[in-house]
Amino acid sequence: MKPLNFRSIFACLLLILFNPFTAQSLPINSDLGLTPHKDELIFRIQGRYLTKTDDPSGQNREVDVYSVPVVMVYGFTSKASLLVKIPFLVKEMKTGTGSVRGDEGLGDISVLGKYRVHTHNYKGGTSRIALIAGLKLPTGEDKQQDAFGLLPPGLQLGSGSVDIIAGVAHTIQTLDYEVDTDLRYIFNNKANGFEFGDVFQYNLSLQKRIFPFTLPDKGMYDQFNALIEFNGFFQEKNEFLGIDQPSSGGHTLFISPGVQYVTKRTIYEASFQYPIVQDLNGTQLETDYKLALSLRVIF
Amino acid sequence: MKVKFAVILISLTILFGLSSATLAVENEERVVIQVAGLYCPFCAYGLEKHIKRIKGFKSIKMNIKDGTAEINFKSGTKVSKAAILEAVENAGFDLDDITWIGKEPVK
Repeated sequence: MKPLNFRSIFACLLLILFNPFTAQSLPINSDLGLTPHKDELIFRIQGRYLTKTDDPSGQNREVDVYSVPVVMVYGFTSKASLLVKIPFLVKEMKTGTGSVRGDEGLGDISVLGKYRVHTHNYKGGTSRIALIAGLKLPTGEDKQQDAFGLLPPGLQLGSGSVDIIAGVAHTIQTLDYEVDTDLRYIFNNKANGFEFGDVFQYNLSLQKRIFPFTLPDKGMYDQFNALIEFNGFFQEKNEFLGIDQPSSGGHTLFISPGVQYVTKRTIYEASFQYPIVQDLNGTQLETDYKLALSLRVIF
Repeated sequence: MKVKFAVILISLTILFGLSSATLAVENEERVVIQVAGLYCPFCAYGLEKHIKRIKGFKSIKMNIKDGTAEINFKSGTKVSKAAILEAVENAGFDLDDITWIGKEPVK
């Protein structure tokens, strides 16, 4: 994989952060401290693609993952909400010998509660902090077999375990900019003798409106936003029958530029994620890039 | 004769329509609210939705830049400050200021 030109990245970042135009939106790959309004339902459907081709083991493995997460968020009060994420997955691994392994179907459903614990509203802006807690349920197939035997855990659609998710998210949103930060920990549990390593995620999202250039004095408006996100992911080593798996776990950090078109009831968005740090244990495949297209609608 | 009748009929219709519209505007209950925390169209939709649930709601005009909303209620509607406050808070915002244009609010 070609190393990134950091000068270009920082030039783009500075341009986005310090351009004279005003903006705000919502993050694409990060969480946020905002919660839906009371009785508000937000429906989100995404198309995601991930490809891994750099195989340090010399087996020329390639992995492609297509996913369509369907997300529904409902605000029970203006502070408390429930999110249900239903992912549909296609996982495919090709090897240098020409064999193809993988599966497709329903993945593990996540159910997350979010509660806003801090709110500071002011004219033209807000600062909010929310706590997040939930479960990832074993709804995806975790014992799928093919002609070669049981699929490896990474190619199964589900983990087979009930996993616990906890996190915190903060959003500062003004008429000029938006900053979202979130931290999340996933306590993975054992199933079928296998346990994925716990995961720690850290995300930073910065957003600016690029159209309209200046805010209209009156009324509502549609807007086009530019985003840049940093999405980090630490994972402990996996365990099988209590023994650490050497080719598992590590640290990955993505830089994720994106665009959004925001209307009163919809957001159309696209994001490209490029790894700028991949410090993986053993002989794991490295991620080349990720793509995401998404639509959100408020009801 | 038919043309003359039609012209008179249309004129009366227009006159009646205009006077009704004028009466409606004169009798409308209008409120301007200043909302803290309002920052984008996607977020403002929730406020609009909750305001629309207030009995007698007629129309709303939101201004994101200055964080205000101008709300019109049907003639003779008894709107309380508490109802507006509840709507704003259910949308996750704070009510900074409220200006009644027309009748005083119901206590």
